[in-house]
Amino acid sequence: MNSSGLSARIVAITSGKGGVGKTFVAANLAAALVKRGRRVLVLDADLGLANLDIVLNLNPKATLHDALTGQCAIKDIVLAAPGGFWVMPAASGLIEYSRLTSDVQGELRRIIDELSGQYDYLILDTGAGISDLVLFVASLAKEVLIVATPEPASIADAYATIKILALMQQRTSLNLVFNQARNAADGRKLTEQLQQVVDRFVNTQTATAVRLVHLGHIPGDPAVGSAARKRQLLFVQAPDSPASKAVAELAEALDAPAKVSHCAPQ
Amino acid sequence: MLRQAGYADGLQVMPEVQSGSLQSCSCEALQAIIDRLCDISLHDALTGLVNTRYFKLALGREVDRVFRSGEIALLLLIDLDSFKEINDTYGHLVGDQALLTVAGVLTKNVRPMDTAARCGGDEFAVILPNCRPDTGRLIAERIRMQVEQTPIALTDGRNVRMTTSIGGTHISPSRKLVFEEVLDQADQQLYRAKSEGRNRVSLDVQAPVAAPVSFDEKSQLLDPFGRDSDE
Repeated sequence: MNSSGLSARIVAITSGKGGVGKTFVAANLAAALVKRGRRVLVLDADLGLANLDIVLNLNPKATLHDALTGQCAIKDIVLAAPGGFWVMPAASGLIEYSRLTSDVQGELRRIIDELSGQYDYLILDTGAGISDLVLFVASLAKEVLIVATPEPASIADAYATIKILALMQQRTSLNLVFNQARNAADGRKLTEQLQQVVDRFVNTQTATAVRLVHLGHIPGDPAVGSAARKRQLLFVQAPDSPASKAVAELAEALDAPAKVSHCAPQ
Repeated sequence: MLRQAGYADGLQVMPEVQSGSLQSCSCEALQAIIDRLCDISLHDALTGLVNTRYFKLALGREVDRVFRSGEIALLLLIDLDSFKEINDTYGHLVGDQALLTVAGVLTKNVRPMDTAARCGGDEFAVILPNCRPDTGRLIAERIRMQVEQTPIALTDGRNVRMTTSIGGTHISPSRKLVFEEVLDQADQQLYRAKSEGRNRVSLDVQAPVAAPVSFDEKSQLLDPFGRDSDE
């Protein structure tokens, strides 16, 4: 809890594998939550290779890097995004963020603490992989949402991410979203399959079993690629497309507290 | 040759071996004799537990299995405290009783999948596959307490109390070790338990700093999925 007494729900979006739609989910989910009346900020936590600003066609004058180095106040960096949510963009090509220093850790903690008093949701869009930066950003979030596609490499990487979060952060519940799934049943089946392997190989090593929550699926939809090429937000550009509707359902599932994991790292 | 090996117990049940009339045996009978000899060669004659030879094979296999399966295993080394004193004071028969007591406690406290061995003298070992760190400590403490609470009753009414020191190391998939290294790590913990005053358990701290995904995990994750997508 911060000094203002209010506290946002902090959700980290991660995947292990790159290119599975983390930023797509982060941005569209944020817009869908705004439509439900929530105040939402998406923080581009892919500090070295950020591209949330590109996806949303924004032209940031300052980035998270300026806040981390104390050159800008947080309020001067936050931008309004299409879809009604707010964005904290990060810089791209900054090699200093390829390693996590204690300075960056402290500053990120401070920034997130300050922001969490002003929003209902803080969505942390992490980079790909399982670097110490990605894991640190995830550790700042009370809830984690793992995005995967039905591709074998994506499933294997999602599993590795789940295993690490369970063993290193003592997570007891993790949300899963299957992007480009054929249908809801497929997504649910993949989650069940992951749960079986987790039960056998991860839950035998942890004090409390990890439960995977199937938050939803997003169907393959040509509208997604079309919006991306135009650098427009799907949820705004094609609100009636199947993928937009699925994102709205995701937002509903996330926003309905009973269905979601609220597992804090210990 | 066989007679010189001195496995009298085992040979008694094989009169053909003792009388040297193996030539008249059928193939099945020979096979039975071979099986029995193998059995004798892998077990400790006093306690009936597996011996060092079997233990080393089992430990090597378990180290490989951990790396493949991703499941943590535990190796415990159990040493009877002051065994020499027991022998010197009460004689070798009581010493044997002490070893049988420890073997009995071990057998009672391990799962069918575990391997309890007598590694020679007063040293015992247990390999516990797929053993969570918290369960490992419980099992080790239980063994220690039960030996302490099971004195040997002498014919003159006196009781001989015994204690054990137990050292243990987790065999983790995050670090590939050969079995000698695993044994050495467990030995260091045993040394610690002894030097800190005996009658105690010392296990290495299992910190899951890495969580590699094993071949078994990957195939279980992806095989059914592959079949599915072909439908």
